[in-house]
Amino acid sequence: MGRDLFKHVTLQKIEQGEIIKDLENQVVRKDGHLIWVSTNGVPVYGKNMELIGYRGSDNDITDRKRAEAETNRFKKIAESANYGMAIANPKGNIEYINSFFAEIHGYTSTELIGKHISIFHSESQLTSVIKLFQEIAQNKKVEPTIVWHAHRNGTEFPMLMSGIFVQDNVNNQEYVAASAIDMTDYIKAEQQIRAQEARYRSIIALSNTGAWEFDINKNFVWCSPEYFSMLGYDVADFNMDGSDNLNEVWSDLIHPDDKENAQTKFLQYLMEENAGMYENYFRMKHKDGHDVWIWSRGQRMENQDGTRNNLVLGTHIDISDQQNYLRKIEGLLKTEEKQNQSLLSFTQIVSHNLRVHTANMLGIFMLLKSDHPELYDNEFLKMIESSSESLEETIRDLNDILSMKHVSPDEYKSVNLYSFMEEQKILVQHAANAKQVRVFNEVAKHETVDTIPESLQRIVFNLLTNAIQFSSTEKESFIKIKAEKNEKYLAISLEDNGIGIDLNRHGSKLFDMYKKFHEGYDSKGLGLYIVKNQVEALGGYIEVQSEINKGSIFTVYIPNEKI
Amino acid sequence: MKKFREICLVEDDKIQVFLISKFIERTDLAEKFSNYNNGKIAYDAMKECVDNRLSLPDIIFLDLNMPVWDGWEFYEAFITLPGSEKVLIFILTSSVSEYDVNKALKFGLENNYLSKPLGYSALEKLLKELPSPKS
Repeated sequence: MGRDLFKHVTLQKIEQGEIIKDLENQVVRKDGHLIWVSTNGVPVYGKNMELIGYRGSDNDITDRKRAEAETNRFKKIAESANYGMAIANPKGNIEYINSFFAEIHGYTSTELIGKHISIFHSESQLTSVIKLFQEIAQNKKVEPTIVWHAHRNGTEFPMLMSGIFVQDNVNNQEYVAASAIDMTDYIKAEQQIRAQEARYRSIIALSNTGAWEFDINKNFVWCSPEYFSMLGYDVADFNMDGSDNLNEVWSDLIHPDDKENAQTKFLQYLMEENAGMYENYFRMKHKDGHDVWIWSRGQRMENQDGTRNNLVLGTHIDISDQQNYLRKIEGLLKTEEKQNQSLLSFTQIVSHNLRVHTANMLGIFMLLKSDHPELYDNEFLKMIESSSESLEETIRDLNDILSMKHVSPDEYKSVNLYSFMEEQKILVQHAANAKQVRVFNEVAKHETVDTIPESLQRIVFNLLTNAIQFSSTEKESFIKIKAEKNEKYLAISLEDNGIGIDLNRHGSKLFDMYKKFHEGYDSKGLGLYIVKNQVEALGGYIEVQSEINKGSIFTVYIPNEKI
Repeated sequence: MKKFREICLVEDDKIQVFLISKFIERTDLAEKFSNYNNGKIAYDAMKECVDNRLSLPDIIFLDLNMPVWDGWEFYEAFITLPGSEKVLIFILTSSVSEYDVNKALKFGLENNYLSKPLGYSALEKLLKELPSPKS
């Protein structure tokens, strides 16, 4: 037994005559193996109580030592683990618990030995926990489960628990071993994701958006609940596992008139190399029979390497409301156009036919004058003639106004405003001289505007002749023409020191047809009507400031850009 | 000898007829003025002239909107008559309908399309500027 190789301690004990009990030592066997032995021995004394020897035995305990070392290693690992480990007897009393598991509940391991596992759970959780434990204890297979645990201070937290039943045949013992992972962060993250998802869902629900996925290879379609709910169907009416061909469901629900176009367009998209975005509009049948206008958009997915994936993701948006509005507006526009058209032909016919008759009357008067001068002297006939002349003039004005209503974008030209105003000055020179009005062109020489020259000319000409006609005889009259450009408009202003207009009395009627504001002047009341009409046809507006006997400023705002 | 032998007006409106006849008389450019109150009467008269080898008018002022045969019906029948090509035809109408304008275009009458009212001075100017008809 290699007694001569006993370690120093053993020898010492022997020398001192001590009883040796279970003294464990590592010894080297003769064959060179390192083994563990447990030594037991008692001293043997002689008659005179002198130590005469030793009686004892060594047992090879290498196997046990190895097992112990393994247990220690396991314990070490268990103690340093960042998850919980515990062993309980089948009744639920804790036999081992690592410090992580103990401390997460606010205890130390020692405190918990012998305690029942119910210490970890609140009343409300207990029933289900016990049930779960018992199932494990009965050696049933239980999937890892999230179980809420209670901290010593009462706060609760989730742990992913998995347990197994262990039968130790050697020691004839049964126990339940469990591991526990703290899921607090996981659950928090999950809750966040859920909240986010709920937000997206509510956004999707609010936006009337249904989602779809199409797998080209499998010809498989997936659709979100909203996809169906916008058509009056419940998602539960369809099988998403592929047993319902949702591609056919889609085709079947498309309005017959839109079907061919819708299908062709989608197939074309699938076949195109660089397809980009898929977009289509079509009507689908609602469960209750009415049409739903769908705006479908999609995108072929790309793999990470940039090649095209077999998956197309897309959305359906219910745009029935917009379509209905659009059609309503289109309908209104059509009616409006028709009415405009008939109004236009009505005015044209009326003005033309009326003119024929007034011209007839004037012709008759002309003949009367030459053929029967004695009759022509009759005052009554002269009054009828004068009325005919006025009627003729009115109709002529009406026709003029009718003929200038239409503004065509083709007629836009770039106009140098300074030269333009110089030309206008020449046009009114005669009248201005007669009234002794001086016209000042204060427009910057480089100023230009994109406009319809004829319209602008009517505007400026009418404003100029008005200003000349209503100039004051009591002072040196002037008209100043200025122009100023801002971001959106060119503002052309004509300032005079004429007799002015009482805006309080006439302001609202200033630009109406046949309105006259001054007595004793030969005017028809058309000038400002024409001005406003033309300004608006150019997409602009007009403002006026005026004071009786001081003068007026008319400012015309013309958009810098074509309307 | 006046510039025109005969000027004809196909027109149903009596005042128009009265005025145009007076106007033409005042210009002193035509020997004769004739008037028919609708297209059918006018065509029958023209046909009779042709059948009897009488001269057709130098100028016809043609109203469009008339009972029985309107202006276009007259025109389409008239141009089939031999000698009609020498007659100068002016549409004289208050119509602004696209149909009539297009029809005038189709017959190459776009420059002979007069809008009512035709005043004295306009008529005088027109007649004076026309070349003398070839006999």
